[in-house]
Formats: sequence, structure tokens, C-alpha cells
Amino acid sequence: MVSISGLIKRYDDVTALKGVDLEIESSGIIGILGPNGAGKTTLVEIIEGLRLPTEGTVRVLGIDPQENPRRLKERIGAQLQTTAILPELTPAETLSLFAAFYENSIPPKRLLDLIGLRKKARARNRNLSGGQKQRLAIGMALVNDPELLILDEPTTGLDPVARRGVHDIVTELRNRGKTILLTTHYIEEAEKLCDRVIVMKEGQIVADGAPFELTSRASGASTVWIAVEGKLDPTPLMHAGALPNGREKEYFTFQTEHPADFIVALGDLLKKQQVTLTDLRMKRPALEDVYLELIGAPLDEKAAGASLPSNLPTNS
Amino acid sequence: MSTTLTGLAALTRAFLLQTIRSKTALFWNLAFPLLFLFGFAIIFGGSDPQRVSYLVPGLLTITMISASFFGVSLSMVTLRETGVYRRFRATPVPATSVVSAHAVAALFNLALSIALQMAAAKMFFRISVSGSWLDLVLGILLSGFAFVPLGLIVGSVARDSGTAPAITNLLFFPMMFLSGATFPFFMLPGWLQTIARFLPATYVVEVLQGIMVRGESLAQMSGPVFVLALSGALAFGLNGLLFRWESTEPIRKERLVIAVATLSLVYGTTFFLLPRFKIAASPDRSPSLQTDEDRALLLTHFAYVDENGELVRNARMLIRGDRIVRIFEEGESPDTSGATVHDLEGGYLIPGLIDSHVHLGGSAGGNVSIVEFGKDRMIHDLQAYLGVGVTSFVSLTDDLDDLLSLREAVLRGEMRAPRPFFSGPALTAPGGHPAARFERVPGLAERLTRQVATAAEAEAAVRALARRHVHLIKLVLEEGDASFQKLPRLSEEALRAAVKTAHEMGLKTTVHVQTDAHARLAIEAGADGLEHVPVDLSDATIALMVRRGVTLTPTLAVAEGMKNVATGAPIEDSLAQRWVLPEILQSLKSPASRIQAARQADAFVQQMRRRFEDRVKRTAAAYRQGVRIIAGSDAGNPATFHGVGLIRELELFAQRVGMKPRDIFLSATRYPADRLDQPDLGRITEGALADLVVLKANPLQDPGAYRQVSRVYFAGQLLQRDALLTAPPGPWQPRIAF
Repeated sequence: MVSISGLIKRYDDVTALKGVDLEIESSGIIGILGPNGAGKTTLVEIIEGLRLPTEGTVRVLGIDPQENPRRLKERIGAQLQTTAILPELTPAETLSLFAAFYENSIPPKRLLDLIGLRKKARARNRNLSGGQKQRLAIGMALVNDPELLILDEPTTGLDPVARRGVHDIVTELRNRGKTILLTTHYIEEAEKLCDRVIVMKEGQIVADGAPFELTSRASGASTVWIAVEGKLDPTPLMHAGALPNGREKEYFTFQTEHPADFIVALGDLLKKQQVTLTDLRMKRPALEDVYLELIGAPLDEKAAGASLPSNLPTNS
Repeated sequence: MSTTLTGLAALTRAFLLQTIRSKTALFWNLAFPLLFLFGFAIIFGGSDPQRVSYLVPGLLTITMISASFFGVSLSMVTLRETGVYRRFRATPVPATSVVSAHAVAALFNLALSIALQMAAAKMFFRISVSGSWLDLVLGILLSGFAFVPLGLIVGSVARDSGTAPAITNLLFFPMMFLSGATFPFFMLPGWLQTIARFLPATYVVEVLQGIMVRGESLAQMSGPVFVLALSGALAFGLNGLLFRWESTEPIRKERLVIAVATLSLVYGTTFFLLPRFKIAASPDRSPSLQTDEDRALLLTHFAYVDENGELVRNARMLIRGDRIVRIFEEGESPDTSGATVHDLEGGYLIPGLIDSHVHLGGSAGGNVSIVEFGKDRMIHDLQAYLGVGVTSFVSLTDDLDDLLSLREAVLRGEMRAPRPFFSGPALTAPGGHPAARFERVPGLAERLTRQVATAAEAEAAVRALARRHVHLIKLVLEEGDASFQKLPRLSEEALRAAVKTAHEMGLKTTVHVQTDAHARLAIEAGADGLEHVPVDLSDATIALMVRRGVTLTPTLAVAEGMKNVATGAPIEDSLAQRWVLPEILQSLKSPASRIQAARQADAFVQQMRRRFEDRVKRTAAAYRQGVRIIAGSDAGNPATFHGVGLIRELELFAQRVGMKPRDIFLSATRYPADRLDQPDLGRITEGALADLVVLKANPLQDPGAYRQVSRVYFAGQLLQRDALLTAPPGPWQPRIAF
């Protein structure tokens, strides 16, 4: 569907893309994750035909966007990061307007149902909430029933409820067999939605794979918190490869590369020392950790990532 | 591709909805032009239908400029800045669809606001359109077609919403003030007129005024129409080079230069082809007057004298606005519904008379009374002309600025006065006649004469006058009186150069002559007419006049007037008693007047007597040999009264010269109109101006008929003759009086 090799994009004084190779064949949701300035938007806008590559070859649905942008635009759908809609039109009118740009289009009513704006069909665009606007933007991208849908940071700036609404639509589209290319800088979003995550950093792809593949590949240790009744000497746990990480409130914390061995060792210890376990929490290395490691975020951020999460699901 | 068109249609609809639903857009697009109309119409038009009708073309032009520039360019810049265009760019819709949609939507908006403005102007101020409504609609669309692409270009090249209004204002204000939309174009100094010719708005004002005020058709204004169509099409095409989807795209300077250069070239070429285009500069081309076109008059029960001097009986006449639209026999019944019927009670209808030699600045008095020098005297005398049935005059030697403003006021319908035609100042030798007479008032000679010594000076003077749209050139050949004051005479080379240049500029010339030798000089230089008849005019010179078609304006009235003053004959003319200010009549008898002093000398009295008799004789000789005689009184000179003077001239033609009634009639109607190249003036035909006089007697039988005026129509309106001297005639005031 998308085939990119040796893609370089230079602006006047910066190189936004420094040699990107990318193949997308399957359907599903492909996430491009990266911090601001990583080159995500430049990449998708080259795919959309809005920007021209400096070097390299790009083929989208077998079409060179530079050579035949109009034919390509007929077949893809795009929701742009920085854009606006005509404020005095209604969502229904906006969708009809965009429908007129394409040779084939989906009736606006069906789209309004899909993006959940049926009730707002006659409201003015300027009166829509941020989430409603973003859903309308996705609707606009779907008008031509595209083979490839490109969403550039669709949830940035939305509150959690609105974000959830967008996630639901995207999931629904995935279930219908669409191929969706989605950029985001929210790690949870990538983890939750994507079948494949591409991590970008400073104009290059630094990791590419399914979320679980990425996490398993990670070098990060799991963090374990335990709370007990009685006096605990954690020394035997060290033998199982755990690193004591001090105490946090009433919790002992440990870092371990091998959480399974740690749990077995902890069971033995509890029996031996006659101590009762009152709570156990564990955080496995998540995409977040992998991501932060990949993009080389500063250490204190890493540490912060390992602090006791109050909302962490307990494994006990 | 079909989506190009569906995209265009959908975008047009979207842009229109965008304007219709936005309160600010609605205000600027619809409410503001209306406020503008009411403001202008009440403040500058005094809510008067005729004056407002004259203002409307300018107002419509301003509305169109602002809709095209502010409306189109600002909305384009906003849509680009906010990223709406960016989103369109991600779809297959081509740039041409977006740009065209802006253009079509702008034309719709423009048509809507213009329609509203016109409707309001019609409803509240009862304005009239002289030309056809179809032409007006087409003219407005054409104007939009010329303006809107310019707005598109500004919208494409303006960097952001900060620079767009700056560029817009830079274009808007010159167009508003130089195009004739706010000030009459001909009032601008020459160099500003030159600049104005590079502005499309100038041509739009010309076209709209042509249709609405002067009653011209688009076909008659092919020049400006062509320029507007061409520049609109070019600007639209050039915009394709300049359109930008995103603010980050660079403004392509070399393409901008190409666009500006191309448009300048179009208007620059127009500028050099100018003589073929009419352009608002010349409001006198068609001396139409602002009138209510809906007003129709049906005249019945009259006989009229046609353009050949033949009497036609049993006719009826339909007048609409200021024109005769239909003349028909009593049996015929064309559609005259809605027309007011005027029964002329068997009267004789003739065209309004033309006095072809007047000096508005002269009081006709003895130059002793303060009244003679007042502005009110001149305004009074303008009414006197109308009162006796003189609806046009030719001023030879008067202040040009005053005449230009008078004509403007008359054609606008603001001032009740005859139609003024004029030479402006006369060309004479340095210190020659009549400059020598004006020495006592500083600056007066410079205003009333152009004193030229060489051919080059004469040529320059004529060109300058032609640019100010005089109707003919007056030259003076006069050497003064050997016994009184000898004066330098215009040189032959200057005379020849002046005549030649005038002809090049499409103007006729007429020469004030004193002697037969002068007459010969003038004729040989190619002059078209002679003013005054030399006492020694020879038969040979007369024969030459006939061969060359040179006209003669003998001005016998002034010769008789001078004789009467010299001999002390009482003024018993009943017309003079009615139409001349009593102070003027009194001043002639005043011992303080120079003429009363002069008449103490017997020689003077004898000379005036003899001169009058000789002039009568030579006029008769010229007439008998076939010289075309034109009636001019030389009113303004002592005892030759404004208005009344022409009636006396016609009587002298009958009683002393022995002219046939038909020739007398033509000498004050069609002949002078033809000399002025005014095909709609001085005759009763369909399409002619409805300046008409009703006489109680038949002028083809009774030479005294011209004294028996029962009605005067000016521009299709019946004048209240009894109220002429009392009802305020209008705001015009002469700049100078002397």
C-alpha cells in the first residue's frame, strides 16, 4: 500500500527526514509514534501528496504522489493536523461539499451516523466542540471511502471522553477492514489502538513492530512493590536477581529482569520468615518504557515512569 | 473533468452560505452599501431624484470595488491562513475550481448588493436610468468581471491578513477618488486624469454613467467595454500563476511582476488609444439632462416647424424624460399610457432657440451700478434666456471655470439655466482686443483671453483649451479704432496655427473680424465662421465665404444697441421691460457711464449710426449671395440684453436684412446646432432633446412671432415662466463677476 525508500526531506535549514524506508502492506492500524519534531507530519504529508520529497521514492497505492497527485487524492483520505473548516457551514453541508470533490463518495448521512454527529448535522461548524470537530474531520477524510486513511494526531488536545470517541471510530473502521495510518505522541493510544507501531526520532525510524514485540524486545526491568505484615528481610530476593529500590511508603520496591523468578523467590521467603503479604503490585516494562528508552528521554523521566502508580492494576 | 465542475458549484454554494450566514459579512455586503447610498443621497444629493441619479453610478462603482477587494481578497487570505485551503488541497479539487468559486460567489454577492442599492435608490429617491436596464445589468456584470479578478490577485499575493487590507486600501482609495466615482472626472487636474486612466474604476464609472446618466448604450461605449472585458479576462488568467494554497508557499515575485506589467500594459495602451475612447472626461458629448425617465408628456393641438423649416400640422408628440421619443399624426395611436397630456391650443412649436454669441460676464448696462457686477445679475440673466425661449447659448469670451461648473450643474439637473456651450477665453495678440479693455481688473484679461504672439503659443493655447472641452475656438482680429486706441492684432502665423490645431482637435473656429481684410485673412486661414460683419465686407470676400462654407454671425443687435445708446433712444422694448433688471436699464441712462460720456461727441453718434446701417447692408449682401447666417446677439454689451437680444436679432433679420422666415428660423435653431456638432439639438425630430418653445403665431409667416412665447419646455419639463425670476434656480454661483 505504501512503499517508501531512502526518503529524505530537507527544508531550508533543517533536515526533517533523514532516509526513511517503510513498507505497509497489511490492513489495520499503523501508528507512527514520536515526539514533536520527529518528522511524523512531514512523512504523512509526503504520503498525502501535500509535500514533495527531496530525495527517495514514494509509492502510495502504486501511485507516485508527485507525479499524479490528483489520482492519488481520489483514493486516500486525510485528516490534517493543522487545518480548519468553513465556520458557517453545518457538518452535513461540509460533508456534501467534500463529497463534490470526489468521483465516488459516501452519502453524508451515513458518514454522520458513523462519526456520531447525526444530532449535530444542522449545527454550525463554529459551534462544535473540539471532539465533534475532530470527528467531523475524520468524516471529511472518509467521504471518498478511501483505501488508505491517514490521521495526523487525531486526538491531540482532546479531553479523555472526546479522545475515547475518536478511538471508538478508529477501532470501528479497523474492524471494517480499513488501513489506517495514524500519528500520535500518546503512547497509550498507540499501545491501545495500533496493530503496528513505528517509532520515529529525529527524522528516522528507530523501531517498528507490534506493540508486544516492541515491549518484549525492551531491556527494561519490571518494577515490583510489596507490602507485608511483620518484619521482612529482603536479602534472599537479591539472590533471585532483584535489585532493592528502597521503600515507598509502606512498600518495598524492587527492580527485576526476571519477574517470574522473583515471584517464586518471594513465595519461599514469605513462608520462611513467617511474614504475611498484604499487597503486591507489579509493573511490567510497557511501550512507554521502550519508547522513552528509544527516544532517549532523560533519566529522571524514566525514574518517574517507575514510581508507584496508584491506578495500576494489582496483580494480587 | 466532471468533479472540477461539481467542485466549483459546491464551493460556490459554500462560499455564498459563508457570507449569507455571517453577520459581519452581511453588514459589509448589504447594509453598508445601503447606508452609503442614503448618506450620499441625503447629504450630497439633497434627496433630489436628478442629483441622486447622477451620484448613483459612482456609488455602485464604490460598492463594486469594495466588494471585490475587501470581500474577495480578505476572505481568501483568511481561508488560507486558517488552513481551509490546505484541507481542500488534500482532495482532488483543482485550484481553478476554488478560485472560480470565489469569483462566481463574489459576482453573486455583488449583484445582490447592487440590486438592493438600486432598488432602494429607485424606491426612496426615485432615481432614473436614461439608458436601457438590460445594458445597465450587463454593464454591472462586466464591471464585476473586471474588478473581481483583481480582488483574487490581491487575495493570492497578500502575505497575511495584516498585509491584505494595506494592499487593498492602496488600490481602493485612488480608485474611489480618481475614477470619477466621488468627484467628477473632468474636475481633476490633467496629471491626475492621466493616472486615473490606469485605473479600471475610471472605465467602470464611464460605462455606468454613460448608461445611467447620458443614456448611451454599451455598443456606443465599445472602448471602455473592451478594456474592462480584456483586463478582467487577463487578470483572471494571471491569478492562476499567483494562487497559493498555503501561507508558507512563497509569493512568486517574478510572476507578480508579469501580472502587474500585463495589466499596466492594457491600461497604458488604452491611454495612448484614448482619442477613440470617450471616457468620462467629456460630459458634453451628449448634453442629456438628468430627468425622470418615467415621466411622459403627450403634446397635442399644435403645428411644428421641422428641421428644414417646414410647417407640419396635426401632429402629436410623445416626450419621455428629456427627449422627444415619438412624433405622430393625429390618426395614429401609439402607446401613450401614463403620459400627461399638454394641450398646446393650436400653438406653433419650435425648438428652443440658440443665441450663438453672448458674453455672460457682461451686464448689458452702463457699468455703473453695483448690481451689474453681482453674481445675482448673471443668474437672473440665465433665467431671462429661458423666459424668452432661448434654451441654449454660445458664450464667446467668458470665464472657463464658471462655464464648466455651470454646464455640470445644468446637466446634472441641479441648475435651471440654458444649456451652455462655450469657447472659454478668446485668442488674441498680446495686449490686443479685448484684453486691452480688461486692464482695469487685475487678472481678468488672463482669464478671458489667451494672448499669443507666435504659432507655437497659439497651438499650445488651443490644445490646452481643447483639453478642457470647449466647444469651439474663438479668435480675434481687431486693430482698435485709429482715432481712439490702436491695438496690436493677432499675427497671421498665430491665426493659421490656431485654426489648424483646432481642426486637428476636432473643434471649429470662429473669428471676430473688424474689416474686410480681416475677414479675408480668417477665411484663408481656414476659419469656419466670422463674428460681426465688417462695414467694408466686399462682394469678393462674400463669394469666398460662400465657396468655403464660412458662416456669418452678424450680431446686428449689438450694433443697434450701441446706436441706440449713442443717440439716446429710449428703451421701449416690452421684452426688455419684463426680462431685464431695472438697475441695468437705469445704468444705461446714468451720466456716469462711459457711453453717456462718449455720446457727447457728435462724431461718435454719427459713427454708431453709420456703422449699424452699413452692417445691415453688408449682412443683406452676404445673405443674398448665399452665406449661411447664424443668429447671435453679442448680449452683454451695452443695451444688448441677455435673451432679449436674440429676439431683437431675429427681428432685425426680418425687418432690415430681409431674410426669409425659414432662414431666420434656421439661423437660431439647426444651423448653430450643426456648427456645435449637436445632432440632438435645435430641431424637432424623434430622439432630439425636448427643448421646445410654443409660439402663439406662426414664425414662418409672422416675424414678430418670436415675441409671443406661450410656453417653454426645457429638457422635457414645462418651465413656470412667471416664476423664473422668483423661484430659486439652483445652487450654481459664478466664481467671478465683473
